Amino acid sequence: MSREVARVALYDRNMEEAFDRFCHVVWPGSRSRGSSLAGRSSGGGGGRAGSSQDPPKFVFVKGADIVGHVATIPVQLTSVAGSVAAHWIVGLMVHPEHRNGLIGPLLIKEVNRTLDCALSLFVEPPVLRILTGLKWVHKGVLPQYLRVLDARAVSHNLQLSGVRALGLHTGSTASAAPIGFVESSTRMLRGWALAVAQALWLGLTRVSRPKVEPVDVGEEEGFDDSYDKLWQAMSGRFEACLARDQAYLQGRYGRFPERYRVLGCRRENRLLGYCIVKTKQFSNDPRMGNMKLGTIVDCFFDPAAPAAFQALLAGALTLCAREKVHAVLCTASHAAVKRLLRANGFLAIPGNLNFALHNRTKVAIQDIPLESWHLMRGDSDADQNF
Amino acid sequence: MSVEEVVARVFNLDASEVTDQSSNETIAEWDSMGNLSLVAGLEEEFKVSIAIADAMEMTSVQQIKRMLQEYGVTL
Repeated sequence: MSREVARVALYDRNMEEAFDRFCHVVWPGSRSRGSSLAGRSSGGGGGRAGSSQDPPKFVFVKGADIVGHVATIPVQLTSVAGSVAAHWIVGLMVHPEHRNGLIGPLLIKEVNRTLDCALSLFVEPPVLRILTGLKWVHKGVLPQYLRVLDARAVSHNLQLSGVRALGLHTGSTASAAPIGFVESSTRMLRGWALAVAQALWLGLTRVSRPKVEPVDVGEEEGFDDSYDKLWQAMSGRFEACLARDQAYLQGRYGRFPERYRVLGCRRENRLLGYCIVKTKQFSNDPRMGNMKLGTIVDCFFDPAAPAAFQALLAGALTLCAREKVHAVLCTASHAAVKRLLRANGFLAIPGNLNFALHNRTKVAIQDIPLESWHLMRGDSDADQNF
Repeated sequence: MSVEEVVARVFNLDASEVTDQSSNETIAEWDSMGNLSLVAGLEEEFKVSIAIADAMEMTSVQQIKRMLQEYGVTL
């Protein structure tokens, strides 16, 4: 009756070969995806939940193959309601032959059964349906902001979905010349409009910018003890925030200095805040074209004393401008971060990063509103594509 | 209750709309979560415990019927 063994299992080293085959299919051309997830999962260092054991990684086994996968990253969550050992779930993926089937829900059921508190930042609507269908609490979509540094380049690289949606692009040879003219004109006009909008917004928001205070902002190498002190001093200032102690930061960002730039804000050598910036040059990307994008993936500061973040934002924009970045993206949930982004001329753009959680601990984190959570792309692995 | 009626109940359809040819390609709600609800509905209605491997093959009403017969269910 039953064709072959099909079950959710905890990943173990004996499955390495099958997992490699799976990764080759679901993340083609990204040899490191599976291993980077494993590395992040097991090398988180401080700020992590539980013991030194590897965090659980669930796979769906069918016969000799792995056809589904979800990994976890242990984190420590501090909140006004209390402290909780939690796990991000990352890399939920099902083999293309089995999508729309039972595998995704069964993997999440196993997550629910095994973990007391799990968190997820995700984009895809089917994931939302699975999570909410299995009683996760959907807290909403993280707001997203963009600061345009080079309006012409941004406009040039954005896809002309508007023009195509109007049906002007018929693809026929006869219409090629007028369409080309329409496209180039539209791009030029859009570039102008974007530049004007950005300049206007920058001017309008000038009054709400915190006063610049005499602080030093500069690139830092690694994370010294002062990052622990900052975390200890500020951890209670955000209503809900993942532990960002020295060990966590070292494991999350410090191991990849070629990927992440650390900007620290200090006064008389005392650390007041930091932000993590990465840049990426896209190349013929279907959505981003050849845009060079900067992303502020993480930050930490005293939300009641925003001058440090103000100085850090200025530093991040200077760094990005020096690197000839076309636009700077920042996805952030907390009200204080959003306020400062807007005050610095960041334009609100539609977000697509959902936050959901499963919690059966006694700490009522599900009641904390999204804008009281300090969440950014770097918290989970939501900066992978940027 | 027939298989068609279980499918109709789970996906909120009129039973007359469900035929042997109805499948996860013809019913929009029959996605990952729909699948899970459907298997639960079938197990409850026909008092069977369906193996995961078998449940994975239940992608149409016709396949469901064939599978249930293999489980000894008289339809």
